[in-house]
Amino acid sequence: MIENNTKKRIHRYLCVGIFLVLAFSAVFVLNLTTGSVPGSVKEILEALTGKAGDSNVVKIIRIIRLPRVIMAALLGGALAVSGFLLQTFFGNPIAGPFVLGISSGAKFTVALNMIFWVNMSKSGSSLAMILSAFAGALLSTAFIILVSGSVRHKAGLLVAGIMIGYICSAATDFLLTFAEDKDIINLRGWSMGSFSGMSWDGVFVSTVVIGITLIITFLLSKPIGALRLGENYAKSMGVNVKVFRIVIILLSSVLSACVTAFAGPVSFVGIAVPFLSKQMLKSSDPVVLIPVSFMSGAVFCMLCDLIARCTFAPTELNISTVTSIFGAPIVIFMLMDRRLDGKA
Amino acid sequence: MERPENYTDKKALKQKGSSAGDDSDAAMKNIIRPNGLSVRDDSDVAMKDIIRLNGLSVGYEGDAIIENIDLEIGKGEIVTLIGPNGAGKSTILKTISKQLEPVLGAVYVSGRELRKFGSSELAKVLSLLLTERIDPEYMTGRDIIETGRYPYTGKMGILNEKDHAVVDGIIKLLGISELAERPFRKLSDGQKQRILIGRALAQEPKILILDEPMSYLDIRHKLELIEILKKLRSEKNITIVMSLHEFELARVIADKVICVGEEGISRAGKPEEVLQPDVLKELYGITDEQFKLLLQSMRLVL
Repeated sequence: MIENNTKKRIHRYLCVGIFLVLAFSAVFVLNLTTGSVPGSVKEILEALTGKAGDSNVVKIIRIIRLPRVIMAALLGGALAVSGFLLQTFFGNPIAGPFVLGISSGAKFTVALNMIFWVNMSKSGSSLAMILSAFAGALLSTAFIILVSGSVRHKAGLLVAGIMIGYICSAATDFLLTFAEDKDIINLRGWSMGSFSGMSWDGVFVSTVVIGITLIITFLLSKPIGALRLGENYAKSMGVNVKVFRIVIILLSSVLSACVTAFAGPVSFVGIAVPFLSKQMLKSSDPVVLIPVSFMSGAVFCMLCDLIARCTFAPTELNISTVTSIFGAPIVIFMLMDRRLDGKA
Repeated sequence: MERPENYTDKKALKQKGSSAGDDSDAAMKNIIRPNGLSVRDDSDVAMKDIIRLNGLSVGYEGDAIIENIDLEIGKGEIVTLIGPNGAGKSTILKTISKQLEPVLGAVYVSGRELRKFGSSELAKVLSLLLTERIDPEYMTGRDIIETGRYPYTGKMGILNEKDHAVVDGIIKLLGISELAERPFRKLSDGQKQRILIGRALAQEPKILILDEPMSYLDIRHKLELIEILKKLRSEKNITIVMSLHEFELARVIADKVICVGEEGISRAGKPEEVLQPDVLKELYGITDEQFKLLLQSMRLVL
């Protein structure tokens, strides 16, 4: 029976892994070929190998679609892992990557930037925008870490995060009373997120930031796994809980800050995807869940971006519109599932 | 709650000590305890005691609930803490297991001060059963027990053959081979408790700290647990410190019973000496009539 259980598990992990690799490849290719100018696999290869294929499709794929799909994959994966970390930490399945006030902090600094500094109408994701969003996200994080030292119970952190959210929203609303209409519209657009206008520079930067963060996260699988039994048991096993709290907050924040900086706050991915991943794997073990959440988040976001881009082409939907339409029912389903079958 | 007169003095002393530098030992040595002994430092502590509490005050955030505990626990002893709810049994256990910092004084384990242990170093010596409930997703009983191997596994926490053998041994010892393969969340409270006791054992500790291990267990499993704890003591010479609500069980398992009452530790000693009607009545604040009722109910059943 014991052997059976282990075998079943490994079998399940393998199936999920193979499914994800296939899904990833299929959605990736679909994203490159679909659009106002359809492309073929042959043209994708030309774009990838960089031979001077001068046809328009190849150019579009190389300059526009490829960076965009890579970013959707990277950022989607990052969001899922960020959500997984916070859910494990708080022991709460609906703690998302933005519960600690990161998106509101970013929105505030972006609004500041938009109104007093940059003329938004020129470019949607200029460097100044990315930097200001990242700075705002990290500012919220810094505040949370400051609070975390003196909060006895981690539920206090959640409250602190929500309060930061309120403060930043209030400050943003205050700013908006003095803003021009176009700024308000732009800010609203930003806060719904979008993967459009991604550049190769962006791909490079986020690959480095997310890559390093993910590697560190994966290497910390063991203490993250111990947290599943709660902080006190983790402490009794030898985890330095005080330090580890800050590490978890930092890691998840860098991931979601990176997403917010490049694509704006993308909702629901961080809550729905880790849930689905756990359900698929029937496991909560970080060693498998970190890579699987990342892959699932990537697939989910690429798919949502494809839908956002193509359903009402040439008009594009905001990414959060699509992720919410798919994500929210999943969250509801998950609550119902809990009620029906008790405990999974 | 009343506090002894010297309470504020000691607190002031402690604050002075910690602001002067982080070495509160220095400040500690200056404190003369009521019985006239000054607190010893590490080198004086005899090795035969595996746990020693020296002038220990326990509590939360610097507020002591119980003050000035002096206690020695020998290797292989089974010690039980009895007393009313909220008196501080758990607080003492949490302080001994380094979940809580001492308010004052120190805990020594194998002659070494507790705070000088690295956290994973301590985890190999001392393991813990807490009263708090846990709710981990998608973990089987076996998964939970396996987390007890944490201090022994490598960087990624993968169990090797020896780890699996230890876990299998514990599952067999506790007779939970069927429970171990089921999802933890679907188990009853008593079944969860047995899994968590297994988890504590998987750490292969020299000292086992159990906070109310008998709660949720039915009478058969209570008796089984007593047998298991005795076996652990006789086979592996494990030292066990636990809190119990069932003082009648303390009589058959404990080498030493400590009464933790409203005014701190009121009595400590051999179970046959401590577990007397008068002591119990006073400790729990039971009236004579209530005590008669208790005796009556026991007699009727037996």
